[in-house]
Amino acid sequence: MKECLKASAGSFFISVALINLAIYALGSALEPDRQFGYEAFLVPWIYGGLALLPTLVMYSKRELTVKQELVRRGIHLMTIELILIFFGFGPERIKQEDFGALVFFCLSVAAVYGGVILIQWLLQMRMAKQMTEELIKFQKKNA
Amino acid sequence: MQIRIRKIGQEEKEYIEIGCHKEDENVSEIVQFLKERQGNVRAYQGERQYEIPVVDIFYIEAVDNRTYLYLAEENYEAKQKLYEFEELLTKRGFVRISKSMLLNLMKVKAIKPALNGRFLCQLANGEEVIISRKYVPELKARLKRYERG
Repeated sequence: MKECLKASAGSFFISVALINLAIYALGSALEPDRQFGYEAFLVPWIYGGLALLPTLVMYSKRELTVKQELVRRGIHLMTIELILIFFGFGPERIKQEDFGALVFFCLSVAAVYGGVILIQWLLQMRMAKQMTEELIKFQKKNA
Repeated sequence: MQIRIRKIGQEEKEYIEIGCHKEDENVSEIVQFLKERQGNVRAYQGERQYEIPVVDIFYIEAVDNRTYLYLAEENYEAKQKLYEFEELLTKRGFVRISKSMLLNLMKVKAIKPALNGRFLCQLANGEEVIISRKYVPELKARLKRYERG
């Protein structure tokens, strides 16, 4: 559980930053003249927190195969999409809302999801590179 | 059994001599222990017995209550359990990378990221083994420790 929370904390902050960018991009494209109050700064944190809920529930102690992992990620993304659409639009607005805006919203959620995975991968690559360098030093010392 | 230690001069080569009436199981165990300390491990392929230099072992894996030593191209079965090898070989550059595997760090070519917080080790013979995410922090700490010396 401790590992799950640590990993989730990292995902949370990365997703908050990317949600910020997504809101800026979507808003500038779809509603460029809209005005907001200070409460708008909380939106990325709220959306990030909501997106975190399925992560905590779906964490697996067991190490999964590539196929299992991909299926899990697919379900994870769909769950996040549904939660965010429900909280972002509400059941009434979903019926009334322009289908195009909904599609853009879903695409931006998927883009943020992909962005989080990409950034985590890059961080892992850096860690792997550091470990390889330390390993080479160890091998030279003990050769 | 009495134990005697005799100090010898620098000009003489160090040795261990066991005086026994019969080379029984106890004596074999002592000899095996000493060989392991020197860098050899007793292993088996079928009925045949071999002395495997520790430096040639790529990784040690426990499967179905049996322990296997994997070299570049061959593998052997050993009588010791994985935890016994871990106690013996930690100071020789072996590290636990999963519940059932000990890896010889001297045989690792590169470390790459894998899925879900795990890492992949590319070995000198082309094989790849996975470091479980639970054991990644321990590996990192050990590499830092070895670096500091």
